[in-house]
Amino acid sequence: MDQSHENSGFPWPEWMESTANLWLSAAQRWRELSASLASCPQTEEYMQASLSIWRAFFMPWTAMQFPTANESQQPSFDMVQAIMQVIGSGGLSEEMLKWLWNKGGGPDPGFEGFRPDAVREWADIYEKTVQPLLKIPRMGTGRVYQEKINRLTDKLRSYQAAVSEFQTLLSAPMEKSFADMSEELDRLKEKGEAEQDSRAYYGIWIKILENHYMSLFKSNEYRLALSRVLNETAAFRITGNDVLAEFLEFLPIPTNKEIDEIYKELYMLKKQTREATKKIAKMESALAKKDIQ
Amino acid sequence: MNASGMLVNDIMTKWLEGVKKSREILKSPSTMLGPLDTEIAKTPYDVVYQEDRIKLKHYSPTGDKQLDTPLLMVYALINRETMLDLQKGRSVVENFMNLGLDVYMIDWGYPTRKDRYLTIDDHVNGYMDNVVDFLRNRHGIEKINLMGICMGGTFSIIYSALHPEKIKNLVTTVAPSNFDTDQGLLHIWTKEMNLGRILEAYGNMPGDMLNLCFLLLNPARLVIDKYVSFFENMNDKDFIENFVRMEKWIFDSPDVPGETIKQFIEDCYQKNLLIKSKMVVGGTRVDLKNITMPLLNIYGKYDHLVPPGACELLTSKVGTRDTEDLCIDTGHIGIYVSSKSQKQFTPKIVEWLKQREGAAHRESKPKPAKAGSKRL
Repeated sequence: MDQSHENSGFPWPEWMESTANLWLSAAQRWRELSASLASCPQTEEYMQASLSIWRAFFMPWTAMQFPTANESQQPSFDMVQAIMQVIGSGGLSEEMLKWLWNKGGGPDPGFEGFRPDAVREWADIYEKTVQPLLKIPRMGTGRVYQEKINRLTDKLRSYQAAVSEFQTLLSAPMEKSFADMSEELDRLKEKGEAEQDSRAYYGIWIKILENHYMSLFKSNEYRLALSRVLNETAAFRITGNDVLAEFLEFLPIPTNKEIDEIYKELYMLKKQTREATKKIAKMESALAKKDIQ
Repeated sequence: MNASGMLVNDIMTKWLEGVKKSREILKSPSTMLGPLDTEIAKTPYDVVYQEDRIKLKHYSPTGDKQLDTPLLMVYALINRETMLDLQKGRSVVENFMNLGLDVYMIDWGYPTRKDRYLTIDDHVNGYMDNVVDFLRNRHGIEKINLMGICMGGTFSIIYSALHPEKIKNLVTTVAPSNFDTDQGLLHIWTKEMNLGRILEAYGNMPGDMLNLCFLLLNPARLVIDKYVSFFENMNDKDFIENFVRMEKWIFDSPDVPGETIKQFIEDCYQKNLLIKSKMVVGGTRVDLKNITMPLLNIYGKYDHLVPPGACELLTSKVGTRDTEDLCIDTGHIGIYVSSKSQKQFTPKIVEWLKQREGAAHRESKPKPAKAGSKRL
């Protein structure tokens, strides 16, 4: 075994290799698993591209340990570049972002070109690979707790997916407004109508942004995404409450369900009392009138 | 550098100047650090009736009393009635008092989890009816004047249809009655909403969730532009005070009782039953033809929450022939707080009520060819 590797403590090369194999394996299975993805042969390339980012990201450490003739030691620049790439793209490669936004090589289509199906395709992979594992029948005394925790894990994923989709939709008008503003600036400059006051440019931009949001909010995609995010948020909370209730069972504290039952009974009793009081008042009034007569 | 590059350079220079200016503002003897009057709802009142979380506020007239019949104002369950008394000079309540009206206003309070089972029936036939009966007894009269605001306006329409014998005149302001319109985003978004799951999770509709929805109606203005204006005016004491007052009101958002909002969304927004006289409240069908008292229907031309399309059908569906539509050139909130609106809104209502004070139902009054519709 290499001496430097021994000293480092962590087997970076093996780890990198196994991670790479995992990604490659996932990419190969991807096309097999999803019929919809089969129509998109570039998927594997995107996964490869994403993998290259991760390789670049870890290069500073691996390169320091295994300096070769081809890989000079420039950890700072590589690392900054890789980090910027990873952070700036939310962990996705440029190619993957293009795929998400259906950009291809053509002009930037803004949010109209967003592929909501892309998020759902990612969800599809989860549903066919990870979700079945969470749904494996549990046994023994801890069955109920395991099932509830697995269900919560599953709902957390659905919630995160819905929020991601929603946030992506919400960020689209911003991107589009910057692109339009750039064009507007060029146009103004060409016509010699450039404003001196930066407030005027801000006014133009905010109006463009407002218009893009309006067209997004009226779209069917947004309506469905909003509905989905609300439903998934509720489902996650319900499942979370269910898990919390299990813990509360061990403590001398009533659960929401128990309190709600009491509230409902209280509500019904109050309603009946009010109705009875009104009826009695009416009867008393009628009797009083009778007495007068 | 190309032309566009030069331009970008200019903009960046200007932007930098702006940043420097902002820093100066922040450094200057700051308005924000000094004493600020940002209190809202300062007009004195008495609480004359209380039931559960509900309070009835009474504002006595300061001017010569113009009407014997008191006016009951019913605000929405969304946000708080303090909007009608934001500050001196921008207060609907104060204007009514100065114009000689005996004003009562329902404060719906802050619903808690125990209120989750309260329905529209409980609010309309329960709390509202009890308040109306209380006022009838207190003043020794058969009927009172009723004014509803937004969702409170919808409640007032329902109440007037179910208890017409107790209402002398009905004033609806930015009150949605027709929900089958695509003029407002709320009308579009609610079509797909399944509130059942949300209420199962939260019990009531969280005020914060509603706030988020309202901010999303126009994020460019409500999330960005509004606060840009704030930073630009940080040295202007009046501006800051008004801004903070409005912020206090906007984000003072009680949760809405679960069953009530569920019925409101399902029966009104999704099925549009009210305007068709098919909505059922407390086991009784709400027949708009039962609204036989005079009706003044006011709404905002630029209202993005309750657009004109949601309001203007009402007068053609009710049983009374004494109706008037009034479309004001303002938005949902501006109708109550803008200085321009202050000069039109309350005087118009007081004048309209005065004309009908003492008069019996004007059922014999011939209905104009088209329901009186004015635009200010």
